[in-house]
Amino acid sequence: MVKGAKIPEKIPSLMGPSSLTYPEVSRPSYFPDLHLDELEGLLFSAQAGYGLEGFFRSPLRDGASLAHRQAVARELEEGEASLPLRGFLRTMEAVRGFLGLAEKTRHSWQKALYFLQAAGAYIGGLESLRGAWEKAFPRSQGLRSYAAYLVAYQEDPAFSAFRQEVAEAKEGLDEVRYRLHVHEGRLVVQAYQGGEDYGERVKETFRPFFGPGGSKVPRLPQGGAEANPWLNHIEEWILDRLAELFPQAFARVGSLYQGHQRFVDPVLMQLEREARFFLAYLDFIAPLRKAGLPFTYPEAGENPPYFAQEAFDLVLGAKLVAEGKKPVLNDFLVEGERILLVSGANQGGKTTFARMVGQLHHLFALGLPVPGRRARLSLPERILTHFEARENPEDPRSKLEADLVRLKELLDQASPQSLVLLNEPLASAALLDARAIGRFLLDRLREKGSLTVMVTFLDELARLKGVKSLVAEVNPKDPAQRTFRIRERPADGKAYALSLAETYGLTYDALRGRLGGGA
Amino acid sequence: MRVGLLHPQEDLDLSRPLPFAWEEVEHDLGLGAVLEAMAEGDSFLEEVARKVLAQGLALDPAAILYRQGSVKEALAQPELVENLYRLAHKTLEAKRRESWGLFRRDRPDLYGGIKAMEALLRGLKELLGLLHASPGDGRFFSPGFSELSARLAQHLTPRFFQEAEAHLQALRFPRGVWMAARLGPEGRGQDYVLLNPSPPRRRWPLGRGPKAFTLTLHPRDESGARILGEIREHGVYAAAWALAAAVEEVTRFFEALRAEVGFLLGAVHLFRRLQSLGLPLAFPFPSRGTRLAFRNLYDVGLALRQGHAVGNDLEAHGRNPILITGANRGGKTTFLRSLGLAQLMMQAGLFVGGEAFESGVVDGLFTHFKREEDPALEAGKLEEELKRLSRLVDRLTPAPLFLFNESFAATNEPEGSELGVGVIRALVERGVRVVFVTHFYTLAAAFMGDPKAFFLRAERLPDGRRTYRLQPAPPEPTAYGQDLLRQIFGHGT
Repeated sequence: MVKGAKIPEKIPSLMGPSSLTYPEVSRPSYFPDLHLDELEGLLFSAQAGYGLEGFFRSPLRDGASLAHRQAVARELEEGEASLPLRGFLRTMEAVRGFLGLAEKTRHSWQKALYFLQAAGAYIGGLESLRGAWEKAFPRSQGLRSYAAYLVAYQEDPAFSAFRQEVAEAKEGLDEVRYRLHVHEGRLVVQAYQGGEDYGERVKETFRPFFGPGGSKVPRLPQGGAEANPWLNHIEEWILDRLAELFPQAFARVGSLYQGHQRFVDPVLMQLEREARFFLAYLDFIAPLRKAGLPFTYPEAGENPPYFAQEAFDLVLGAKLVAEGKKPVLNDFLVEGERILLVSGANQGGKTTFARMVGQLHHLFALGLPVPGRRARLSLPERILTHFEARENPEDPRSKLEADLVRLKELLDQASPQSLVLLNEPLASAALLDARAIGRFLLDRLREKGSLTVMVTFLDELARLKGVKSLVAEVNPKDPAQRTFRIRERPADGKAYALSLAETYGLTYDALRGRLGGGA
Repeated sequence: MRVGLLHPQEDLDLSRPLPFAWEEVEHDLGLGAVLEAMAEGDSFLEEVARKVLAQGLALDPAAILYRQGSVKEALAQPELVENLYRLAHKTLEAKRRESWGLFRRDRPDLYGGIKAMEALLRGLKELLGLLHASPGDGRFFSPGFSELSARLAQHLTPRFFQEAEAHLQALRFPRGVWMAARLGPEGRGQDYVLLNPSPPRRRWPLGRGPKAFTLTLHPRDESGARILGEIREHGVYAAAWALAAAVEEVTRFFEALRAEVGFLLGAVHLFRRLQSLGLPLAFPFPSRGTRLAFRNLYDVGLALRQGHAVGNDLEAHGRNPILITGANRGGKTTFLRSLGLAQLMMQAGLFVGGEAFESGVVDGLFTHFKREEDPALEAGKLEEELKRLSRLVDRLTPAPLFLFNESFAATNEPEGSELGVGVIRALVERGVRVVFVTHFYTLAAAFMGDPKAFFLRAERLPDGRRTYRLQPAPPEPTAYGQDLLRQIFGHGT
């Protein structure tokens, strides 16, 4: 903090309308079932140390915060708003890097010089962020609150004084120019007295051979010595001599270092952390959007209908896009019945569908855009999952018994505001038992009124009251082939009778379209 | 410095990639024979000829005429062209021996640069000598050669050679290295500038110069010596880079010279070969738009392979598409090749095989020829054709020439014709010049009402003999396949 800077009464935030605190949160129990633990790793492993996982594990319960975040995320998806913030993140990384170097170096002048670089980067970064926000003033409340804070912070006289000192120290150093002579084990250093650039003269002689823009030969990076941040003993000797040759310039750098040890503002550090959360997610989905996959900001609904159109499992989608493929998009609609029963072919995408429904709700409750063309969802009070678990040989109880215990716990917690996801919960029961238990389970869930997706091989359960039947489709011409489409009813056969030429876009109309009309 | 023998503004750049599907163009047009004749066994010449023919598709009529001047000059002074080619080759060899890769490490090699530049300066002196020893004493009728000669005379003065040689001496640093530097942000020198290595010794009248500090290394301070060496390198770097860059640029000049003169040498080779066959050769007239006319145009590739070729005449200004029908084995493919080759050779600035040729320049040449090979793939043949065509359509340039040879023949006549008509219409409307050879009457007949369409038919005499000439004539509902049947099996007569 710059000494004496005043703190506004209300702390700004991208996360919600009122300032929130984010404790370290442990992973919700449904994370592994929904592959959200994997997603968490994909999103934040490159940004360890910022505690972004805490945000990711805390779905919102109130609509006001949800709207606040959706507005921020929407705005950040436009480059205009996110570019300045990205610059700010790079600034903060640079500042931290320079401060680390200043701390580690053992040479006192180099310490002060690295410190000056940190201060310079900090000031430059804040100024350009403020400049960008003045040009395109943020619309969302979250970003506006920071924009206003930033203005107040920079208008503060303490900040202006700090900026002035940094500028003067830099100017002083810019004027340091010296001459070296190296010959047979002797080095002479003195102030620069003039003299022309001999390399230029050599170039001048051969100028006729260079193209109009000079040489096309690329300038090469100068040596590898700069990779080492620490000075060697000769460089230290030169730097100490320069401090004697240019005493005024060096005195300014020294006093800046003495006077402003902790200048990074904690509120701006919070902005950094919050912005990283949003950008990590938006950067993750950007290539998927680019590959043509839809994302949407769901509308929050208190009552049905709830639906999602052309949605997909985000983790699977990211994997497929990385391989140059695309996931199959699926829909669901909840109107009358609140239980969706998914049956049909093995390996037909049923589990992925249930997982997708869960992911949509969790991501929605974080205020982020979710995979899908359009969606209207409820903000669940809790998400309860039961995905077939691998048998635990240590467990003295039978698999079925363990499953039933888990299901009992789940039912106890379920409420009309819960989202319940059951994936083959009866796979370990004998067929006759499974039917009875399944019937019982579904009756309970209907009474509870929880929004439920249940994946099962027992298609007769689909005929129960309050249950809507969804089926994992196969290709009617080749039932061995899965389409990975989950439909409310079996689809009709598809027409594949496209002419070869149309496939290649070579009919007159198609070709005209490709060639862009013309004359 | 520009060589500029092939283009008024720029040098030949061999690193430019070939146009999309160039191998197919080369194969379909039978360009191989032409390239071989130009190269006479020199693989570099073959490469240059290929690149120049491919890059000709980017030229405008003025640049083509400029290049024709250089080709004509080369035909008039073949020995000069050969000598220039040898000199460029020799100089580049010498440079390569002195410095194999100036930039091979992270910094340029100063000593290698000095040696390489010495070799290049020798080459430049010889080049001046060669141009002056030519019959016109450095004077030429073509703009390419005369401008090159003038540029060299202007820049390669005795003063230039003197200065260059003085630099090569000074850069050995007999009295140490002087340099200026600024303080970098982390306390290290930056922006090193080399100062004159042999400055005049300064006298300070009051006895004391400006304040200076001297560090004398202990003889056993090895790391200090290494560091001092690095600091010295920082200063020398800029000059070493300047010298290395100069070496690269002069080398590039010789490379361009070798390539451009190489193309002209190839032109001389080709001209001599065709002339020895007694075939006519003419410099074409490049124009704009859909102009097309020629007299006695023959397939240069066929002529080189067989020693003779039949020519055709045509006048089809402003006509597009051109549809060619008629008897099997009647010369349709040969005609298409002669047309494609002439267009390519014209655009490259060469003469063409014929008595006269005029055509609008195009910016791309695309060929879609029926593939004879792979009979096993019969079922997927149409698909292969469509796939190939679709890829070409993706890469279409703004104003190309598109040659089709029996496309869509893999399917039956009604389907193939419908497909072909659609493709031709769409391409023509988009401004593509289309020449389409087909034996589908239905396809060609679909354009009979189109005043812009032009029809050619392979001639067949009443007795069934072929003349291999094409005549302007609308399509006929038969392709005389029975003629062939009769000829080969001798029945039905």
